[in-house]
Amino acid sequence: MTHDDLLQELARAVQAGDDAGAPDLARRLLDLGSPPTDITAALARSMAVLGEQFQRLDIFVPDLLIAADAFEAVMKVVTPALLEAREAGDRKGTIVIGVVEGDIHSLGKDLVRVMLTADGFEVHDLGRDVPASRFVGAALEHYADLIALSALMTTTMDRMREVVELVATQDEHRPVRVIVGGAPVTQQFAHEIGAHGYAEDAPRAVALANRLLVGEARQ
Amino acid sequence: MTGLARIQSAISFEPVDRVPVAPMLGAHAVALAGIDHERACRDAAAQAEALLRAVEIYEPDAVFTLMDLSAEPEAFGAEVDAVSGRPPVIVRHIPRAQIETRRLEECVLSARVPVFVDTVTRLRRALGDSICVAALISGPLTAAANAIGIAQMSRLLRRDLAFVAHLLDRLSAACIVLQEGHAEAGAHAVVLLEPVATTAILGPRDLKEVLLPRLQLISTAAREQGLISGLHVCGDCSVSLPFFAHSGAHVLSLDAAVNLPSAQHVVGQHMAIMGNVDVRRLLPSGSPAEVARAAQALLAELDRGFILSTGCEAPPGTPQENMQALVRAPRL
Repeated sequence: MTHDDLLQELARAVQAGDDAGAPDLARRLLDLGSPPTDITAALARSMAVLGEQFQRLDIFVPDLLIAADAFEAVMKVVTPALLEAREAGDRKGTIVIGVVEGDIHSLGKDLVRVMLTADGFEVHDLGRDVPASRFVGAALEHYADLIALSALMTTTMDRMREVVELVATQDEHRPVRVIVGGAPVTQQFAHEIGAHGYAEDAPRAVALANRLLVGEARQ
Repeated sequence: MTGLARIQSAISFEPVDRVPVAPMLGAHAVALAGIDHERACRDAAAQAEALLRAVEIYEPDAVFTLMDLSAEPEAFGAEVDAVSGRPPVIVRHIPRAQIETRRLEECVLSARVPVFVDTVTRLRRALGDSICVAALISGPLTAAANAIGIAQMSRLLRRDLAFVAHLLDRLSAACIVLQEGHAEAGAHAVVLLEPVATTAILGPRDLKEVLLPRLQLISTAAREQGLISGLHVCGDCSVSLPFFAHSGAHVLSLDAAVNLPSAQHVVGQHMAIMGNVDVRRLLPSGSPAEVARAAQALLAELDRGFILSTGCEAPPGTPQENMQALVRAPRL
């Protein structure tokens, strides 16, 4: 198999959610001397295709989830080589992501994390049930450009407001923007709490992050 | 006509003196009564008191128990965090090995689930057959997702379908046992809550092959138990409507993400349609005039077999004037 054949095979394996086969293919590519950035570029294309299929209702959350698992399995293989080869400016921006305090539903957040990572952002996942102060602390620690908040319950979505308010009290010389999403969240709610953006699903969250941080409109 | 007769006529596509109105008052009702939401989920007297007060104020044609998707999973073994002022939330799901060995049919009527059955008893005792007394229960897919975790269940749908199918069979059997409990308590109706069956998660193929046969089984049992059978789905599930139409339930409750007249066209006379005044923005933040306009638009566009309702449970912050605007709309 040639380098290109293996890359295509890898893309297919990720899209099929083959979390055993996909990392094997990545290892073979690295053994052949393929640049790790070729592998991540192929992964990014795969995840973008999946995002489009999801929006067209050709695939659904279970398909996206197993593909995300395969993606993360490949990233574990590729990351050491990537760190060695990485140069400054490789990343589009740094994002801190998590589920707000009182909420343990992390499905949507996990998908957004994977798709942002695949698209070239540096993403720090704080997990679920995260207090406002931890979001802001992590954003400062990692010099983040963006905080991405998720909530699945109407009873917890108001916690997003706390994060936005806390961010507003921070140093204006390093502005951090906040985007929100999750089942009960709406554009109207995002506007009301002063968030910088709202995304309905994972592919739209990637497009939003690009608009805010890279200035590209990618729909 | 009594409220119950109005609902019965609507689900049979028979003429009614006016369109029945049946908002899911739950969270709004407990807030209105000044009762702590968490307490209402573990105290039948408090829950019934709140709902009966709301019935007195709004005079709906049906009353529903509180929407609490953590009750059945807790009975099956999930760990729940109960904090004053908000509904209980699941904080630890049930490990796969544990749920495989649990006798779900036997434990479904444990933990807080009897609170909801007792609430039905109290509502029926107070209301008789004047309006429809309905219990909201977790459907099998939603119960599975909340019991083992939605991400875990979603993965298993692709990686171990046999496990999911078997779990859904066992949860369907538990649903039927719970329905029987509500029927014995005097419920006129049971509504299966299936927010997880929203199209983003469960595509039409999965719906048809994995969930639909179980919904049909539960609905058939409900009819045999003498219950009106309802099904509530969240999100935009327009592409799945042809399948939901064959679920066997009498009525399909949809949220504001769905165009209701189109849904009625697709579902035809297989099921009555219930919904779908927006609970995310309109009810809590809109004006009474806006709520009235939304309700009137639905009344104008939907044909026989329609029950005017909220798209989901009314949030606690719903102004009383807005709910009044909704329940008055069919009476104008």
